[in-house]
Order: sequence, then C-alpha cells, then structure tokens
Amino acid sequence: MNNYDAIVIGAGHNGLVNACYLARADLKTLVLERNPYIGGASVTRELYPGFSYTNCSYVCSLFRPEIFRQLELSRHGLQVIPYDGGCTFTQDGNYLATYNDHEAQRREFARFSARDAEAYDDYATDVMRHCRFIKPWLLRTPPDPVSRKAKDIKGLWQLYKDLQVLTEAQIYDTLEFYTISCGDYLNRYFESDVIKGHISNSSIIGTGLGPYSPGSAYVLLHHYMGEVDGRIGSWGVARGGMGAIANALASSFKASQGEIKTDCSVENLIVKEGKAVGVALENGDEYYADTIVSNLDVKRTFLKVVDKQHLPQDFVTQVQQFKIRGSSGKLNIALDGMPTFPALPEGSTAIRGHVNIIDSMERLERGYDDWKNGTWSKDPFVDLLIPTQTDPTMVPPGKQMMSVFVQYAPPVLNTGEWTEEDKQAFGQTVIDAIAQYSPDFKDLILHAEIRTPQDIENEAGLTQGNIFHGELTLDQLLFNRPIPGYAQYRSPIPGFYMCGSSTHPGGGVMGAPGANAAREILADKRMTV
Amino acid sequence: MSNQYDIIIIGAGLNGLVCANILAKKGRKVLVLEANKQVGGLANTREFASGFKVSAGAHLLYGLHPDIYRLCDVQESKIEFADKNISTLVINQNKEFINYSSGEDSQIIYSSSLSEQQNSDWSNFQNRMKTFSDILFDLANKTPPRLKNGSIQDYKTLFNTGLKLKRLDKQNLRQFLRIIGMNIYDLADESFTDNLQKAAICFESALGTRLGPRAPNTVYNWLNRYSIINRQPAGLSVPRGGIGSLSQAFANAALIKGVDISVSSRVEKILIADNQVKGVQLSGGEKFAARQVISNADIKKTMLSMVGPENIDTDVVRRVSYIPMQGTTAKMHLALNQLLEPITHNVSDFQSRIIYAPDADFIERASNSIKYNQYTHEPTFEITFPSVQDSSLAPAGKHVMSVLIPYVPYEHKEGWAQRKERFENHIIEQLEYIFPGIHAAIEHVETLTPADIERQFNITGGHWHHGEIGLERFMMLRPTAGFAQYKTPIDGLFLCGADCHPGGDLSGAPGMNAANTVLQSK
Amino acid sequence: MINFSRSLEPNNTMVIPTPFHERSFAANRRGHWTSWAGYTIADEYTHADLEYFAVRNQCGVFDLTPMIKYHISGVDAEAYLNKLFTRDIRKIKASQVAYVLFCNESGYTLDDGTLFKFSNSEYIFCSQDRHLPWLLDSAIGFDVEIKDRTDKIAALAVQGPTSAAILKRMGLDGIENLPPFQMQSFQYQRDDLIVSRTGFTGDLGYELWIDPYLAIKLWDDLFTCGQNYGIEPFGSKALEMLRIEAGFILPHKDFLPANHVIRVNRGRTPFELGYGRLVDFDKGFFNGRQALLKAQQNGPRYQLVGLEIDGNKPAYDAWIYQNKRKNVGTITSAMWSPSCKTNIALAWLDANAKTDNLWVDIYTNKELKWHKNMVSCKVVKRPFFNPARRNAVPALDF
Repeated sequence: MNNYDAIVIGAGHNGLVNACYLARADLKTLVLERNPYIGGASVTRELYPGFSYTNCSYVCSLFRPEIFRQLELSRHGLQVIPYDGGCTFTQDGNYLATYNDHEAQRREFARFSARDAEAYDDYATDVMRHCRFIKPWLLRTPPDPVSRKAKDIKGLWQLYKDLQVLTEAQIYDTLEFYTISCGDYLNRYFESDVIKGHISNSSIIGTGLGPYSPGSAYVLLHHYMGEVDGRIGSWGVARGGMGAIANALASSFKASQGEIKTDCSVENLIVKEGKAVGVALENGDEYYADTIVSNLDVKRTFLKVVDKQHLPQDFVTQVQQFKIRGSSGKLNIALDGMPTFPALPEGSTAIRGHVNIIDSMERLERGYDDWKNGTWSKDPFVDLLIPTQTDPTMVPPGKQMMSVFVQYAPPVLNTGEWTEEDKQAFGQTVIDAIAQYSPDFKDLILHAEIRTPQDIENEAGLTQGNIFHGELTLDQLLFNRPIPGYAQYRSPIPGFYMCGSSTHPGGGVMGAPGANAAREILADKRMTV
Repeated sequence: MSNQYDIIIIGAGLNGLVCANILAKKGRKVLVLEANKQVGGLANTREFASGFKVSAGAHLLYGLHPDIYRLCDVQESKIEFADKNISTLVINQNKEFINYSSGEDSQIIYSSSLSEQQNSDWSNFQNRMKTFSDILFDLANKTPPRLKNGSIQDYKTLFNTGLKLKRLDKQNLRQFLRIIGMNIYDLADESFTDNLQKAAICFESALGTRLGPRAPNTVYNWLNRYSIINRQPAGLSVPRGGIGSLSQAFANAALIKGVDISVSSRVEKILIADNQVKGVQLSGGEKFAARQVISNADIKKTMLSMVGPENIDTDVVRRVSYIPMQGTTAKMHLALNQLLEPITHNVSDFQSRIIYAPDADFIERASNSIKYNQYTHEPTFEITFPSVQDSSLAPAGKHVMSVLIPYVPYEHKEGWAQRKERFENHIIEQLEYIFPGIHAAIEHVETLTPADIERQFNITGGHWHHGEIGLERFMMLRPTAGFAQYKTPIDGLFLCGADCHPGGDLSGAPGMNAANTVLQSK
Repeated sequence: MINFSRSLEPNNTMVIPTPFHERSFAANRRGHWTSWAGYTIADEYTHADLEYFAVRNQCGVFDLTPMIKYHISGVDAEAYLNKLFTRDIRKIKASQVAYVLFCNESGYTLDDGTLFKFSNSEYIFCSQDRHLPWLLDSAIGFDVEIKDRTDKIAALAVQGPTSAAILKRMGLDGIENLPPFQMQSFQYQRDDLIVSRTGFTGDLGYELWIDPYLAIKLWDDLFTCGQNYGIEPFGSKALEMLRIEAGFILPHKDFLPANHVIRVNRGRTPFELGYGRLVDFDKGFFNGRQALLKAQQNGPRYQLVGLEIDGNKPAYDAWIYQNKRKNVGTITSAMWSPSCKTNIALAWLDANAKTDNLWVDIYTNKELKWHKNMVSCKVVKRPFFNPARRNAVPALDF
C-alpha cells in the first residue's frame, strides 16, 4: 500500500520532528530519506573502524526543550550533556578560556583586560535583553505583514505589543541590534582584540558574513538563545553523537506508528489538478498522500523536486534569488589519543569545549575576504571540539574523535569546482593550523574525513553546504524567510509544505521549523496535536 | 554687534545656513558662528594652487532638497549653473563604458556594448526602485517619529508612513520589506547582467561609507541617495564658481534677512546652566547669549567637546562615542597643464562624472583594506573635471581634476604622516592607467585624507555624512537614539548637521528639519 | 613556531584565598566556606547564631577583603565624583566616609557603596559589585585615574561593643574619639593602618584597611588583644543577620543594579530605595539628574520599607497583601531578630499602598506538611536594632 495521510521528504531532524507531530495527530505518516541512513545533518556514522563520526552538526543547545518534552525524547533514549570550557589560543602562545563560573571567567578575561572582564557582565545582560525579545518568536509562525487575515493581524499586533513592553530606549537598541555589525557592537564593550576575537566567532558561524558585516550582531543571538537544562547560553552534546537526536526522533516517530524508508530519493512531486498528491522516487516507486512536506532546503525543494510548471514564475525567480551561501567545511578526525595543547595548563577544562585559534576579529574578517575571493581562508577559523572527552562511548577506549568546523570555505573556488587536490590542500591548511597549537596532533591522526561545502551538499543535501539552509540576514528572516508571502510553511501548491531550516526561525539543530510547520499543517486540517 | 540673540547657529555649513535662513524668515534674530575663514563647510570653493580653484569638499550638487530654495528665498533660477544634468560615465580597465543620465528617469545614454535588453534593464530597475525611494523621500523632510512616548506629530508621521506602505500593492510591499535589509551586490546581481551596470549601482551605494557592496544594509544607502537625486530638477549639477557659490548664495540670502554671520569665530564652549543653554563662548573668550543654540558641528564635537561630558549622562557619552565617525573617503585635487586623452574617444567624456569601477567584485575588494586601516591598492574613483564645465576655475588652457577616492581610512595603520606621500603617488600611478599621460600633465596635487578633512573642516573623523550612514543608523537611530529629533538632552540645544536624519550629500534637509523643530519648541 | 612559555600560568579557576586565609582557615571549626566575588570567605566558623551574638555582645571579626575597592585620584577627582554620585561630594570632608549611590540616565540605581575621602584629589570607593567600565566611561573628559585596588588592600571588619576597647589595647590611641563615618590613619609596623568607624552590622564597629603583607600580623594582634574581650571571627551567615537588623539594603537581594536587570524598569530610583536625601539637585549636573527630577515629580512607584511581622516564622520570599486580598508588595529579606525578639523583614510595597491593614502570607513546612499563615504586619522605621553605643562619641569601652 502506497497511500499515506502525510509524506515527509527528508529524514533530517526537522523532517523527523515534523513527522512526529503529524503521526501523533494520528496521521499515517511516511518519511522518505535519500541516504541509507537517517538524520540529514544530525548524523553519526562509523567511517573508521570503532569511531563514530558526528560528521555534520556537532553541538546542540538550540533544540527546543518544548519539543524534547512533547516528543518524549528522553524516553526514546536522548541525553544531552552540557560541557564546560572552550578556549581561544592566541598567536603569542597564550590562551583565553571559557568557564561556567562567573568569577573564574572574569579573572580569565582580566588577564587580557580588567575593563573588559567587568564589561562582559554588561554585555551579557544586554544580549539577554535581546534574547528575551526574540525567543518567544522561535515557536511562532511569522505573521504576514501584507495579509488582512485575523491571525496575521493578531501576529503583527503581538509583535507590536512585544516591542511596546520595552522602554523607548530599548526599542531603538533592538532595531539597532538587528542591523549592526558584530564588530561595531563588540567595540562598544571591549578593548582587547583577543576577547573580541573570542566572542565574535559566534557571529559568523554558518553565515556568509564577516564580523564587520552589518547584521552579524544578530547572529550572536543564535549562540546565546540556546539552553541546556534551563541554563541559558550553555551548550551540550548528544550522548552517542548528534545521530542520537535523529535516532530518538525516529524512535518516537515509530512509537506513533510512523514509517521511515531510507534509500528513497524523491525525484518528483506529483501534482494533480493543482494539488500535491504524492511523490515519485528515482527508482520509479510512487507514494501518495494529500499532505507532502519537504524538509529539503527551499532551492532543492522548488528547483529540483517540484516541476516549474506547477509554480508561479515569480515564485521560482524568488527561489532562485534566495541566498544560500556555503561558507563552511568540516574535518572529522579520528585520533590515536588525546593531543596535547601546551598553551593550556595541566588539567585545564578549557579543552573540553570549543577550541578556537583565531584571536582577533581582524583575522576572522580577513578569512572572510579570502572566501569572498573564492578561496578557503588561508588562516582559517576552526571550531574544534573533542566530544569524546565527555562521551567516550563513541570511540575505542583511549582514542579520541575531533570534530573541526572550518570557516570560510567557498562552495565553488575561483578556479572552478573543488578538485581532489583542492580538498586535500584545504584539509592540510586546517591540520597545519591546528598543529601550530598542538605539536603532537599530526602524529595522532588515524583518519581524517575532509568535507568541503560541495561534499556536504552532495551527502547531506544542503545546497552549497550551508548549515542554515539559507543566510540569516534581515532580508531572509521572519516573514521574509524563505520567500516573502510564503513564510508560513505553505507553498504555492495546496497540500505541499516546507519544514526545513530554510523556513522561520532558521538553522541550528533547533527543531522549531519542523514543529511550526506541523502546527500549520494540522491547522489546515483543522486538527491539533 | 550686540551679544544677545534669539538663536545661535554653530557652523556655517550648508545645513547651518539653511537653518539660519528659515529661522530668520520667521523673525528670529540669528547669529551664525563659523570657525573657518569662509562659509560653506564642505560646500566650498577654494584655490588649491595658484590660479586653480576647486570645490574642496563636495564637488557635485545632487542632493539639495527641492523645498529648500523656496524656504530660504534662494531662487534656483538666480543660481547660475555651470552645468546641469551631468551624466555619469562608468569605465573599466578595458575601456568599456556606459554613460547614464542622473536625476529623474535615469537612462543609459550610450555604452560600448549594452544590448537593447540591458538598456531597458536599467530603466526598469530605476522605475521599480522609484516606488521605494519615494517612501524614503517623503521621510526626508520629516522629523523622525519617536516609537514610544511620542507626540501627536510623531504618530501622524508613523501613521502616514504606514499608510504609504499599505498603499503599495502586495507585491511591492513584500519586495520593499525584503530588499531594505539586503546588500546592493545581490540586488544588482538580480537586476542586471552587465558588469558595468552592476558596478555603477554598487558604487553609488558605497559612496561616502565604509561598506562594500556585499555588506547588508547597502540597498538602503542606495535608495537613500537615489531618493533625493531622483527629485533634482537639475539632476547632477555644479554651480558656476564651484559648490562654494551655492553656500555663498545661501549666506547672502541669510544676510538679507538680517542674520549675522561671523567667520573665524570658533566656538569653544556651549554655556549651560541647570541643563538650559545660555549661549556660547568663543575660543578667544568672547561670549554670546541665546536661549537656543543649534549646532551644525557634528554630534561628537558638539556634545563631547562644546557641551562637555561633565554636563551629560554617562549613558549619553557612551552612545555618542559609539557612533562610527571615521571618514572613509579621500579627495584629491590635481592642477593639470592640459586636458587628457578622452577615454571613449568622445569629447564629452570630461563633461561627465567619471566612475572607475570595473565590476562589483572590484569595488568589494577595494573596500577590504579600510577595515584594517589601510588604503586599497586597486582603488575605485569618482572623477570630475570642473574646469571643463566652468573655465573660471583654471587658467586658460589648463584644467582642474577633482577625484574622490572611496575606502581610504581615517587613521592609517602606520600613521598618515608616514604614508600620505606614498598614498598620493600610488593614486597618481593608478590614475595613469586610466588616463595615460596624466603624470606629465600634473602641475600641482592636493590630497585630503579623512584626517585632513577633519582638520580643515572641523568634522570629527572627516566623514562625508558626519558619521556612517546605513539602516543601522536610520531615522530614529540617526545620529543615535535620543538625538534623532534634532534635540539633545540639553534644553535649548539642537543639532542640524549631516549626522542627523536624513544625512549628508548637501541635502540641506537636516538644517531644514532642525529649523522646524526649533520653531515648534518653546 | 609559537612560544608557549608565557601562558604557563596555573589554572585560573580556583577560588582565591584572602590574605587572612591562613588564620580564618585555622579558626573555622565548621569548614563551611562560600565564594564572595571569587574569594574564599567563611560562611560559619562555629555557628551563625553564636557568631551573631558575639558581635552584638562582644566583638566579631569579619574578613572584608573581597569588597571591591576602586582608587580614584587626579585633579578632577572631586568634579568627577560629583558627576558620578547623586550626593554633593564637595560637602564631604577629608577623612570622612560617605554612603553614596549612583544612577544611570534613567535614574535607576546602579549600586551603592562607601566613599573614603583622603583629599580633594584622592578617594577610595568601595562597592559590592564591579563597575570599572562605568567608572572609566564616566571619567571621559575628566583628569582622573581609576584603579582597581581590591587585591592590594586587605580589610577586616571589627564590630561589636568591645571593638573600641580592643583597638585601644592594640595601641590605636584615641580611637574612641573617632566619630561614625570618619577614618583615621595609624602607624602600624612602619606602614599605614587605616581605620574607619563604619560597618555593616549597625553596631559600634570599625573597618581596618591594610597592605596585605601585614594581614596575618594584624589578625594575630587583634585576637591577642581581644582575648579578654570575647573576640570571635564571624562569617557571612551571621553578617546577613546583622545587616538585616541594621536595616541595610543589599544589591541583588533588596534591589537589582540597573545594569544587570533584563527588564529595565525593574531598576529602582534612590527615592524608591528611601535614599532621596542622598540626591542633591542643587549641586549641578550628575548622572541621572534629569530622570530623577522627573521621578521626583512623578513620585516613586515603589517604597522600600521595614516590616514587623506577627509570629516567629521568617517571611522568606512572601507576598504582602492589603486587607488580606490585594497584593501590594513582596518581601526581599526576612529573619527572626534575636536582639529585638521580633520577626522582621525588608520589603517592597507599591508606592500608593496604604500602610495599615497589611498582611503577609507565610508558608511553613511542618513535618512535610505545608501551612499557609496569613499574619498581620506593620511598617516600622529602620534600623530595627539601633543601640546607643553605635554612634556614641567617645566610643564606650563596652
């Protein structure tokens, strides 16, 4: 039987979240996944004997606790473990560590600037004020400013009310914060280049912006909005790797009688009389449902899966104009043991968190200049994490797994497509950069998986390898995301929906787009979860 | 001259003069105090080499708000223009070019290689943007409305703007809400297929700012500039005698209305008692009394130096010092002993405003180095030859070349004292590629880095707009929260410079709006 | 190659011992410690109640070193502080110690603290929270230098009826004549010992400020001289009891520093804190002046009051009701006062709330069963406990 109530294309975390909610509303739901494994970019795979590679997304904190609870992910085996630490290595052999303890953190900053150490409190308060404004909007459907429907007017009224809760000065602060550059913003609080470099890296992760680009301050929020166990701004890893999130979601989905088929690459959306009625696979199979949901990014969805003839020309143009900029690559390295970092004191917890080797905004911005120029950063930003320190289940005893997020790397080089040589050279640039701070690192490498934006596109299906399914700039946020007029998870084709990170509120392993889309789909069916 | 006035205006820049005219017309007794020897601020003409004169600041007129002539009783017909409706010639290193008209209904006049389709791309783009830029234009002569605790006037402005947005059709409103936060590079990419067309749009948006075309918010900058150019009956123009004669015309109009203008009078302190302005004190110690003082000087100079941090809240000191005011554009004046070889083999080349910008990426690359306080080695230029339009500016047969160089830092990493000469030589070398033979023709060069502009024109940072302009410093955020209505925390002290809404470009609008604010306040 | 030699500092995460740690560690019979501003401070040495009574009856010693101390100097120091604080700093004389408040532009209190004046160009400002960015930015345009001296000055609070006698025995001649809120410098081991008649206990007491290298010596001298005067160390738990009885407010507990509230209108003006007398509009401009003028005109939104509550169950975190119905406020600090034998509390009331017919609902857990008690309370003047010896000059021997 190939008939279902709902079909979700893509078993990424948002697709699975969406499917879970649909299945819980007693819809007979099918998830189709192109790869032989589920998870999309939330995946853990064994690429070297005994080592689990969390080879795309590598941390989680943005995952909404509401979803965690509603889908009973704990019961389905998901454990999120917060970690302390993190540090930035400086070029002069020093380091700046992150600590959970307030006073320890202050003294750490004070090694670089006494003023900055105290200014950090002001900064954190101000960022929290902005978080407080935006956070409720993560799980709300963006209102359409053009519409006169009651729910849109209600939504806009809510936005107005949220603003009016603020003081006049705060309203201006808010407007400014969403448009200003991270550089301008941090310069207000801090004087130390190292501290600014340390903080600014969260303003560019996953984007095609530099820290001096207007709009990058907002991206800082994506780092602070997260929470683990109610601790705002703290980060965690999923026990067993990020694939554990997908597995728990799949388990929750199956418990609601959902069905997942892997190795099923959807070739085409079947449209009859203007309505979505099913999908056709590459292998010729067809599945039918009156509700089809795409977890793919908006370009893949409407330029590859849906035939143009079913879409208004204007819509297609806007999809083509949607900005998805691949800017990051990834190295996943299996290590024979724990590398040493001589800059750190013995026993430091700093190595447990994000390790970063760019110690100024200028170096970060220069890396961005390289990318604009069509090359990978010669002095790359890396976000290095060794999750196996806190989760030894992922590797053989005594071994370590290192996840290295690299920015910037262009989807296409100025010399053309990535070649194998380019890829190796890119990997070497990164390994050399890390080895500067860890002399024994190179000797410990057992296996390194190098992933260019092109590889990420090919494997995880993210256009240009962009981890957010589209830039997080003002023109692509809220009611503009992904396409103005189509920001409420519906497409121009009745019965066809979007639930990927291209939709509001965007990327990160957050689950919100999937949950929001499910709410809209069920509303169309006059159902609730 | 008595020392008691209704209103004192600090600085005789164009905005200060416009403000003085409007207030004097309403019967106020106004004194204008100017630190320099001549009026005009950045709108001036001066001799930079024996017999050679140049508009030392702005070298083209394109932004004057159309209401201003009437409000100031300066008859446009009485201003003698050396040239009007000056077209823009955009060129690249391969001597390809496009030439387009500015002002209303900009069109491609001629080009080296544009197709019919590409020609109409241009006009279509301008038409489409006109709808949006009109919204900004309508705001240009309004005081930015407070978004909370506002007056009836504020809510009226907000309501009217909302209404205007609502009157756009759905498609346009959606477009507007999308593109307003975008970068100009992508918008140009969506709209054109020709590199020079893209470059032209990108260059216009980047002028005067530190942002490269790929930086978000640059569409706003373009729209803001376009909104006002689009309303100029004379298009791009230059008055006879250079921009300085425009300032002179406004100064004369003010004098007729009884305004006292005192040059070489540098205000050192604004006198305050119990948070109320009492007057000003000059650097020589002379005092003038007035209940209202309007500063055409930039906000940093006004608040942090003339008012002084001891009279304002630390939060305000912070906000004012956060404003990025470092200049981004250098100016170079060249005295040439002959005219150069035309680029397009078209004699009218030198009548045009010439932009050297091969493509959008070139401009983006040029913008990189200013981020690190360096100048770019591959600069873009805006070039005019004022003496071609106005022979009075140079000795017979000789010529003046006026060059704007975007993306030049206020402070050079190694210090301008070390680098200025090398910079000057480098620019001339680059110009030589575009105008072969220029080197031999040069009689004299004057280079103004932003630091020089700061010193000579008393503008903190030497910035064209008295501080960066962009969506993050738009309306209520310009120059910074709490100052956007031309008012300051000090009772009786107002601002009227280009750091106020809607910004610089010789629009006179801040001066006009500030005057209205002052008239409405008690 | 990167040279890693310069980073070989030890882990920076440890709580720091104060210069008195060796002694306070030895004196601590309980092993209860707390972190105050990143320093190790005893919570209790024996038992909070006993330590409390030692202060009220004999003399207690409290390690005050973690108090944040900013040294402010320069020709414009007076003008600068006059902009910073709401009080008229010009009226403070050398050797005087002043309680000060400072506000942001909205008139909300950033913090309170004590200002020690050495001369017109030299001051030390002590506060609970850190404020260096604010102090530095406020100094733009003033010729002053601001230095954090927190770890350069060791400090002990010596509080209680016998404190003057002990200090006198230690050789601080004439200490009894030092009036409240005055300080005096004494020669001590060829260095300066600054003694101020200040404290957080509301009793007769002094605070001693000294170079850290003399800390241990000072502690030993004090305890030797105090042996027959009942001297005891006391920890932060006892201090909390003492300060509530004294009616002192504590940032983060009774009010929130305006720069650290997420909802900005949760800040409080000095008028609302009950310190309107510390706001001087006649002195010229100061931070928050315009907003405070307006706030004074509009009147306060809240009032901070002292409460005496019936019964003996402390009203922790309780709500206050008018006529048992209308919620008109909340308790911030509460305790059973052993000296007044009264149930006391500090609380926020709505400014327009009537002060009669007030009730507090106190939840008490009696053997795992919660009881809700609506008890009557009344607004009283602070301090709750105010012995005559506190301000007597000369200070009484005991």
